[in-house]
Amino acid sequence: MILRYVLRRCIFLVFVIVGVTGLLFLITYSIPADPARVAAGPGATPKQVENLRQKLGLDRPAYVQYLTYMKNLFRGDLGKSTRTKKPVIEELKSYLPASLELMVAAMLINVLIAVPFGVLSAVKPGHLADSVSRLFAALGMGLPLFWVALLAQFIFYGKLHVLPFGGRLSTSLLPPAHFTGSFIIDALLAGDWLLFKDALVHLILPATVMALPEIAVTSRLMRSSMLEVLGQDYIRTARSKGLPERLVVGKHALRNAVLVPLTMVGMQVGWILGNTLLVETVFSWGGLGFLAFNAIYKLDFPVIMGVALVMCFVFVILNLLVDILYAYIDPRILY
Amino acid sequence: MKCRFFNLLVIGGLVLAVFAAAAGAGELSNTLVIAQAEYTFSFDAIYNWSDVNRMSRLAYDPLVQYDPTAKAIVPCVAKRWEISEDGLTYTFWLEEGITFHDGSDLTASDVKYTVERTVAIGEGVSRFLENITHIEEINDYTIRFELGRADSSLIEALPALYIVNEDGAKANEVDGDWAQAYLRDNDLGSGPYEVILNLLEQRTVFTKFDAYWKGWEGRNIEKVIWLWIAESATQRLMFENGEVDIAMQPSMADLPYFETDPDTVVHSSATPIILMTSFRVIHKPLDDVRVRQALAMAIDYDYVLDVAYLGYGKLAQGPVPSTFTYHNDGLPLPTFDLDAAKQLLADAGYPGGGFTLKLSYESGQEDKVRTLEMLQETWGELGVGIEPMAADWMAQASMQLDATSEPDVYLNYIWPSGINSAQLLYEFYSGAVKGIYDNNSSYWSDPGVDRLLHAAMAEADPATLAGIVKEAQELIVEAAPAAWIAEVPYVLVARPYVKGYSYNPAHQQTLDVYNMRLEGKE
Repeated sequence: MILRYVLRRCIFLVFVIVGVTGLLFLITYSIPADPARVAAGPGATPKQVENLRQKLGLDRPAYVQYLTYMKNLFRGDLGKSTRTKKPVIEELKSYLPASLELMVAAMLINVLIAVPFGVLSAVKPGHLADSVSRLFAALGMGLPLFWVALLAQFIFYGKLHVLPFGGRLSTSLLPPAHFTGSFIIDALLAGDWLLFKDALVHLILPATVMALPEIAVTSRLMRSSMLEVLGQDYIRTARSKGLPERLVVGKHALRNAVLVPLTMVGMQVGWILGNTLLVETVFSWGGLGFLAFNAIYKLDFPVIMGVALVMCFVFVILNLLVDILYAYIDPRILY
Repeated sequence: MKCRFFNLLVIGGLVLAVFAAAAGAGELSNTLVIAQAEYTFSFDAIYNWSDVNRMSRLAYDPLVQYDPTAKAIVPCVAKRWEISEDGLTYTFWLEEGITFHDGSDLTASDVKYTVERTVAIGEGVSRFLENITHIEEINDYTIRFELGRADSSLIEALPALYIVNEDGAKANEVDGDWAQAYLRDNDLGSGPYEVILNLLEQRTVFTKFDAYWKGWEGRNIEKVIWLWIAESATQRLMFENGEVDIAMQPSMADLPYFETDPDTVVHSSATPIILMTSFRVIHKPLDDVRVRQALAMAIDYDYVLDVAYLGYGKLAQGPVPSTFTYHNDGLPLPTFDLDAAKQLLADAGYPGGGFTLKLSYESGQEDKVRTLEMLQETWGELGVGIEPMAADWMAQASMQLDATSEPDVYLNYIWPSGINSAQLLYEFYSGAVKGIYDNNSSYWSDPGVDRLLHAAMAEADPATLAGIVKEAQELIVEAAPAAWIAEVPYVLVARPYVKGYSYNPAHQQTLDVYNMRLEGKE
């Protein structure tokens, strides 16, 4: 049953990709700027621009370009970057691990902070944890992420000197041998403890900043979901049977209450991926966000398309995983 | 519970501090650390744009160099050269004993390959090389270019022709890409430094090339670490914390702070970039030269220098930058004179103004925003309204190309593609390039100026060329297709122990690290 569901979702993914690419092509043609002109650089002659336009296939009608792109896409060819001339797929392979590392760390921080805070807020309303949780929610949702990133950098790097400004490693260190692309994992695999610690320290600030708005959402959702569950009859029954409160909350209530925030976690991955553009730029984190930032600046459309597709793909796949996790957490859910 | 929560915070803080202390620190006394906002996406020296040129200047050697002090082309890979009297043949004698980073010799064959590669890819300085009809390798160290027509701009384009290792490029070519993909992360040069690490969008590390042909006597920068820091606020923090020696793009707003810091030296240089208002002369009433002259007179030039450039800029004297050969220093300097401007407007039939101009400017550029604010006030005094049109540079470039686009005035830059004055004037003020180069945003042309520019492009004799170019400048300034406001300064901040920095207009916003030193860095 679940397999059929997964298959259905995979077919759905094809339509999503067609939709996303179509939309991006439409946007491309709406922009009042010439990608060939930008790619040719300042001071390029009309002949240079025209040569480049032909080389990039930008002289062909829009629908032909789109169909060619789709045909190549399904063969795994995303074209070449107009800036670096490297295949986009190679660029994505180089940049994706850094973003995934950051995204996973942000999600971990999100879950590890937001769930306990949400539970504590629900169990003891008005308590210190509840107040902190509310403060987090207000700040996390109300403050612009870009500003928070700069402020965090100013405090923890500029004034307290406890964390690095950004980057993925200290300037004096060389990255570990490439295996996964995640410095943390690769350093562990290489058994290089110093490198591992350095990579981890560099992850703290960007990951925490990236997690902040999500902590705000998750903790509030967790709180309201938990409050609702705690008011259910079966919780009252469990308590009246004399079950310790730890078990009532931790086992019976939490498992049911976590479904609502879990739905959001899937969505949050998408938001986090979107936020990489801001956070990676501030923290000089060489991931997809930074790649997208520079590609947009230089109108490098093959790369913009590639990044959008990867983000879309990761978003859909993670939401699928969340759906599968539902069934695991709540056996009543059938697909 | 409260106590446990507090304990948790303290423990977390301690772990953080221990981890932070563990983050490595290394030996940096002979290492120059630079923070730069704009990421260099390639080490392919074909791109002569400033962002790539920053890297290629370290890793490659150009055929010839430009000496900004002497305002002359001086030897580099080519130790001497000869230009035939008719300007159609260029012969270069190359230095012997230059080796690329892989240890192979740089010969005439590499120069020929570099020219052919540049023309085939069709980017960078290729347009200056397309006129070369034949290249002859006379021997390993002598090469001759034959031109289809005389071109005075060729020699001044050659400082941007960095010589690429032919064998290295051919060995790393994929699908006929001239090794462009390979050069994304590697260099193929003979320059003083070679790339040893390119950590995407984070840092690029160069180490000195021991076998560099010019030698290392009296030089001590062994390593260069280039950090890509997009935010100027972060650059400032890193500079304050002593993590970088040079911040390449400090915010203008931070300059007053840096000026008062005894451990900082603010280096300001006049660049060949000129801030101007281009008047689209095909729009009424800008077709009348008196109106254009009036608007030029109603610009508070001192305000721009003091407020937009915090005193670091320089008044522009016509369209050719003062750092260029053949800049006409006999031209009148622009003046702010509202009364004279009002009189000119009245003479043109617009007493009290009474018209509004659509002005396009690039949003997000502080100097242009400040200038726009000033123009709204001073042109307002003439009774001329401004309807601002914010656009990004791509959109503005498209509008500048289009004769039917709306803006009457463009607040933009002269951003020369080389160091040749005739080429600059041709690109911006020749009738032949209207609607072709987005540079000619004013859509102004004059047959007399066209004739002069055409002659200048083909003139080989420097003295004659100087006369022609200077005369063209006079005619252009008189017709006022634009008001040239200021030579935009390039400002960077450095630690006092960083010595030997100088600005070269042939390599805008780059560093000549080979000629720099670190004196007393700890």
